Amino acid sequence: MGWRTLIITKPAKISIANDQLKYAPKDGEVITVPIDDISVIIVEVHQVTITSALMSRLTESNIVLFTCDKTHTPNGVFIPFHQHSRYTQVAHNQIAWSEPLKKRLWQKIVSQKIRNQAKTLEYMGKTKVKQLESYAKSVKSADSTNVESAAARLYFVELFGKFNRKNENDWRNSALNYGYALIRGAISRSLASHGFLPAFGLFHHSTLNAFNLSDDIIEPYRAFVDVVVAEQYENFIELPDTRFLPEHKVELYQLFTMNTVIDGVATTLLNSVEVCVTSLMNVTLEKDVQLLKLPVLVNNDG
Amino acid sequence: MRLFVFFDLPTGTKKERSHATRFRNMLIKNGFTMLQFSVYVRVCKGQDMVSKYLDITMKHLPPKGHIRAMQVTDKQYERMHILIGEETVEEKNVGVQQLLLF
Repeated sequence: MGWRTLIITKPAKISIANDQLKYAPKDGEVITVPIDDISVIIVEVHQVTITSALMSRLTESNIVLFTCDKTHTPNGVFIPFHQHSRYTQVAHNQIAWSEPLKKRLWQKIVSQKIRNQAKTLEYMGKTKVKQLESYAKSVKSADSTNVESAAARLYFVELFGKFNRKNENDWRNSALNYGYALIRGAISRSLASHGFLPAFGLFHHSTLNAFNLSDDIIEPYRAFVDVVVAEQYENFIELPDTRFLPEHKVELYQLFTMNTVIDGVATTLLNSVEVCVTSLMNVTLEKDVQLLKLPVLVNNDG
Repeated sequence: MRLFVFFDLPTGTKKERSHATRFRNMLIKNGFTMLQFSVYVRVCKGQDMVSKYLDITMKHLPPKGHIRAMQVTDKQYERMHILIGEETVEEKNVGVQQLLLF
């Protein structure tokens, strides 16, 4: 199981030599990293050459590789395919999810999402924590009363003040999208490696989206991104510049190693994704919603 | 945690050289880097990983020679004095960092 995140920001060739990842920059020394230590690779620039042997080897160790667009935001993800030994069984079970099971799972996910949002507000020293916590308790099966959106309205205004999630010129939106994209990729990788079909979701069911299930699972993880961006916003508030700068991004790379608690055990965010997806597999086999384990946001300062 | 492997292997005959090369290549393929000739080290996250790579090494031992393995903590490793020479490329750029920004 890998534990390193690799970010390629300079023109280079990456290949495989002696079962090590070989990073050969245009100017500079060749560096090797043991493949099995890596969990995520983000290719940030367009002047990087990747060999097919390396890509094939990445899937064997279940390593996810992101490509980015011109603004360095992840826009593509390379994940293992048909890796799990019981691939067909898991996929069959997933397709056979009953409507009541999906509804109860979605209820649990939304409830944890709102609870994590409450924690974000608490750590940022904001109010309305109690109100969100009571929202979390009132989520009905399938979130039929749409508490999720009511909570989101309250939450974003409290967290960021005057803020419109749709405004593309606000760097906070760029930062949030960037962070969400990273976590979404990590979830998709884990789902694929367990034999799930990310296209078939619990609540999300867009026929244009190949990652509906990832978009369900990501919900409780969004608060982790929010808290990092909110902290940045408080520190950078004096800056007149509204662009999303590389120095903002470096903070978001820490996302994968953030502390969290899942199933009562403290671990890193990246590990918790694995625990969460494994628990979803158990839910699928046992048809018991209680088996689903979701991450709890904990204070990462100090 | 760092796992060291120190070895002295006979290289008198062709067969012995082949055994020695095979052992060395096995170390490199498993993520060990050369600190000095016949001194290899691997970064490990925790005791489980140390045991894993120690097991792998023990399964691929050559028939003759002297080989030792030793584990030290990252703190102890950092206190190592370099008397002549300099850090290796991997020590400088990879080390125990979780986030590698290349």
